[in-house]
Amino acid sequence: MIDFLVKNLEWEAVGYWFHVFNDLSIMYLIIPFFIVELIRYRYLNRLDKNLIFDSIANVITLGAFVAIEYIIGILFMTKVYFWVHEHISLTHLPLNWITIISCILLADFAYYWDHRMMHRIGIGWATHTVHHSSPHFNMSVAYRFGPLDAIFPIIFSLPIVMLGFDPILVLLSEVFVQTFQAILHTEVIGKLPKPIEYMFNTPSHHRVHHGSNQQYWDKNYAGILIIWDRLLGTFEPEKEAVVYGITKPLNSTNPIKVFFHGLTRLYHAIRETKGWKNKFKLLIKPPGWEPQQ
Amino acid sequence: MFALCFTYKAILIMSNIRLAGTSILIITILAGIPHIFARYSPSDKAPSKSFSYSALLGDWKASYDSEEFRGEVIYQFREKEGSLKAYSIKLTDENGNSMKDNSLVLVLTSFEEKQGTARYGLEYEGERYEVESEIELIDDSKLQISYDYFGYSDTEYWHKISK
Repeated sequence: MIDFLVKNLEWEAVGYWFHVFNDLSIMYLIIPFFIVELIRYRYLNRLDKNLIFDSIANVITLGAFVAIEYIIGILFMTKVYFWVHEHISLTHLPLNWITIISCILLADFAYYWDHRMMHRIGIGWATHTVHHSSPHFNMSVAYRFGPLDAIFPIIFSLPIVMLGFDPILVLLSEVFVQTFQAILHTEVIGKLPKPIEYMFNTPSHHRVHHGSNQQYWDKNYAGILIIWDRLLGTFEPEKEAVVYGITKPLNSTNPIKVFFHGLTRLYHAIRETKGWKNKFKLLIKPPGWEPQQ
Repeated sequence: MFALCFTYKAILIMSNIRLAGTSILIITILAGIPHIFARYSPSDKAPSKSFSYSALLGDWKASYDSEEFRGEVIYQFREKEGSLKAYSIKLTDENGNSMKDNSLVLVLTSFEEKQGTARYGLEYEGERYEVESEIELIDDSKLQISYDYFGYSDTEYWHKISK
């Protein structure tokens, strides 16, 4: 068993399997599932203009997000990753099953903290609120991104590179976590068997995360494993019916408004707040923070 | 009131310490396991110092004729931190302009019976990639390095110029 786990793997084979899950899943999993969701909406008489335009806005925000991600990546991030790997990293790890599994789990743990930070600091929420602002919950919502969503994960993935993991493997693992998380955005699947619900993030757990019901705020940040939430005190099971969206609804399906509304709201809050210290605190304090009178 | 405030602060700090402690423990376990197992990995075993190992030590020259670089590079194999590593020590372009260098380009990960594997650092369009490569000592003065990275494959030949 150990021999199998430590056996060196070829990059080509590893890259191929990540490609099948990370990239091709949109064709064989996400889009077919979204079609099933649309049929279900139609059957339940919930397929209306708002849902369709909301889904289109989601896809447009994905385009904007990917463009930003590519610009950042091409300009400097890949160089930074490789520089860090070469100069300030522990011994480089060989490419084997143990390394891949550990890297995915570390990327998942990093995702937990990245996600938690995006919910708990003003500037993080200004971008991540875009993802939560949809009043619907389906596969297209998984691809509803904010303008700075590509930046925050860097803070958490660079330390993984510093731990000796190959930058390409780290990036592939991050996308793996994101892809796993994407398929949880559905109302079609109820609760799964208990052992799965105990260990893994499931559609039920993630519906809670998207709830605007007060008991569901800032809960279930997980990507793949829900045990991170259980260990770090942010787990909440799905009991009450979930009301999707944010407490101050956006009420718009205009993709530009959707994409920038978080930053616009933060900008207005900063402009209306007195004192530079308080203005700065709006960026790092939890959303909704106000200076004491 | 003061006591209440103090208790609240204390709970907050303890909670943060617990969070930090748990997180550090998780990271240590997840990062520690592959490092422990890397000791058993064939690729990270120190290359055995057979006759061919010492045959690699010294300076080697390779010629390139690609869009990225046209010219010659002199490499030097050195024993460092328990493994054999190759550094580029001199670069000469097609016009004869040369510059000294000391960049790590290759780390030998296994070597037996004149064949082995290495991690080879390549530069392409300004990006650096570390690829698994296969090396073969064709004869005492010719070394073949071949690699395949996401469909981009190539073979280089290094020629011995000094011991």
